[in-house]
Amino acid sequence: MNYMRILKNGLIDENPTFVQLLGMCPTLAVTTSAINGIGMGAATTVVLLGSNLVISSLRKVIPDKIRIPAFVVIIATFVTIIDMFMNAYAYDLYQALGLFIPLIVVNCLILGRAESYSSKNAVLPSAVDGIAMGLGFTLALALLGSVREILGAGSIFGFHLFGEAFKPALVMILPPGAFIVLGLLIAGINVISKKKTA
Amino acid sequence: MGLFSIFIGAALVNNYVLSRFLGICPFLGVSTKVATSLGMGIAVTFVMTLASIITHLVQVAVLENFGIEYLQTIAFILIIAALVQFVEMFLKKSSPSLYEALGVYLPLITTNCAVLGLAIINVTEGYDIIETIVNSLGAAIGFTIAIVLFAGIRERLETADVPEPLKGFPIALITAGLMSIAFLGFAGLAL
Amino acid sequence: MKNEVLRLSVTLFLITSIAAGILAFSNNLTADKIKEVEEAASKGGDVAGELIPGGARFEDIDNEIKETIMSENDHFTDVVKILDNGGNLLGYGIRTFAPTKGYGGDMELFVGISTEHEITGLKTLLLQETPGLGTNVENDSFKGQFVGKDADVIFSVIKTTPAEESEVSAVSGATISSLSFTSAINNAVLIYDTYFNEESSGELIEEPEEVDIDAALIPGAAKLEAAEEELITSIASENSQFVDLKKAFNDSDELIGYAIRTWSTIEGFYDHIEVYVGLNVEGEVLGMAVMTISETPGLGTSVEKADFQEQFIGKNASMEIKPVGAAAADDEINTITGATYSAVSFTSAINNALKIYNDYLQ
Repeated sequence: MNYMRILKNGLIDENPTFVQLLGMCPTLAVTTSAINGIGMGAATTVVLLGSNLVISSLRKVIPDKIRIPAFVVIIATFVTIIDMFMNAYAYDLYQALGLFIPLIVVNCLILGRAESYSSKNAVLPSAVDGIAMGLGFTLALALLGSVREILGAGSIFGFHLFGEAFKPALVMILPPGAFIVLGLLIAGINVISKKKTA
Repeated sequence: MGLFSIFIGAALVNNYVLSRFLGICPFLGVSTKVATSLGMGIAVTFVMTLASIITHLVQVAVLENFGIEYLQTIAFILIIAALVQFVEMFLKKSSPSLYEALGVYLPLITTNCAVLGLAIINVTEGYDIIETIVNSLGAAIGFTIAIVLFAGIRERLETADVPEPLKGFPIALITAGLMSIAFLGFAGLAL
Repeated sequence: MKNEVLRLSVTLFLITSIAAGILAFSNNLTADKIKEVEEAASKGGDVAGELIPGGARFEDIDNEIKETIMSENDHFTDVVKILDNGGNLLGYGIRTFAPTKGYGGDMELFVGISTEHEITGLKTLLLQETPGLGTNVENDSFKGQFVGKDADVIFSVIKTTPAEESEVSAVSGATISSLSFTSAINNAVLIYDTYFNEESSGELIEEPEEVDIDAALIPGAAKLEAAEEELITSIASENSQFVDLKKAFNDSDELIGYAIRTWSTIEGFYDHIEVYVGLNVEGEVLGMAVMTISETPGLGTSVEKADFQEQFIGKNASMEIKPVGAAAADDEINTITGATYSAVSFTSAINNALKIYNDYLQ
């Protein structure tokens, strides 16, 4: 089992955000800063890892006809656990991510992975796939969050980059900015990958 | 808080797609044709409103009554999944053409964050049953307006001369961004 | 077929039950910490220090008082005592929503007011304003304007540089947010003044300038004494605007002047004005003080300003003072731009005082 390949797959080849275009809602909503993007990515990765592990372990046991509801219950359980622990131990991030923590349960990425990978593969590869996809997602969110934060607030991870006189493009941290920056990033990646295959 | 104010708030001022970022997947995925989008909008409206009513009742009668609010995520998502199943079966029998047209997007309403998001928002805002219904209708209609408008633009974009790297998703996202700016104009609309 | 459905349902039910069980366990693990963290956000020791320097902890206030406030004030949320390490009362923390809604929704503030009725600290509990614009109300440059001020004035938001204690400068580009924030502070101040300030006058008004009546009316007066009963009665019977008359004596007990209290004969913009006029024994105006005024703040109330009142000093009872646009003659004074009615009314009060002098005191 080539774990490196699974890792590369999740990070680049089938990157959840830039290639598969999954999990758009949290991607656009929470990337108002780099930290928020990474926080959401991390939470999602934990859920991905957990649900992939459990679903893979139970794949021979869960009847096919009820697999979707079963997957959903398992994913929802992990989401609720992560929600509780963030509420207790990462309160600032919990408040920043708000509604989107419980919404991780409807992130098509997680259900998609369960359906297409972990319900059909052994435990260890499924776990690695979960981590890989999660990392790919986190990276994408971190990138988007950084761009929006730098342009929209003149800071990165809270550190102000420019002097007092810099007036940031406020629209970047507002909803329109999310759409536009993501659109341009994907276009940029399209250009890069076209050049690679050319 | 006037009912009308809640309605307009959900539909326009805090449009679920363009301001709250809920329902983006179907918004970007289904909106290539106006007709399909309208169908999707109607289906979502139906599911959203029903789901909101049922989840509200379950929240009050079961979750809060027994102090098991932490089971909210599981309970709500199961209710929504079940509801979508029923809508699917219902559509298959009553309108096979619409069922065909919506195809794989119908079961995807389950993972439409707008439905679950709306259910949770109704609870956090502390709406009673009437306010819940009004808020849900507003949100759903706002979603439908956004997706139909967007489809209209995208249909035209099909024939436009878009630079290669921007074709498809990127230009769609940028268009959505411009629509979002337009909807920002509703901010501060106090009724 | 039926068996299968039953089997599937049971399996699903089993999975869900196990999940619920796991979550109940997880809930047990985290519930206390969650409660702790959410309490700390609004009631932790750090917060006490944020609201009043030296504050170490909160102490609950009698429920009855809280219920009274809640029944009389729509936006009040909570109030707590703030104590220092030694348990001494430093002041109060008042939690209130903003009566004026913000741009993005409700705003909730936690205001610290010391026992010396000074606003010592602020914390925003709920803020839904536009990031980068309305959220700037949290910057020290805006909210710092309130810290250190006395909690006995109602603040007003202006767009220029503040001139009075009760004025604050709005956040550029976020007027609605600034107004909302300020309304919350004002509500906190009102609550403090109504329920917790023992020295309160009971009415929150703009800080009046402290006026030493005697010195303002008749410079050099050592004391003012009530005039004879019969004199007062006879003036009152013939002059309906007349209110009171006092005689002013210097250190050597010599009569040096009169203090005549009278209403205006001509109504101002909203209502009559009551003025206390000081004359010397020759009937020359020495000083004056406005006693009652209901004119427009900032406009008509300018009759209280020194540069307006100065014009009357030296005028005497041989003339009837005329308020005009451009004063040239001895018996003329300049009215106030934008406050003609008020100026005319004020002048009529002075004139009435002079008339009383002429009729009774010469």
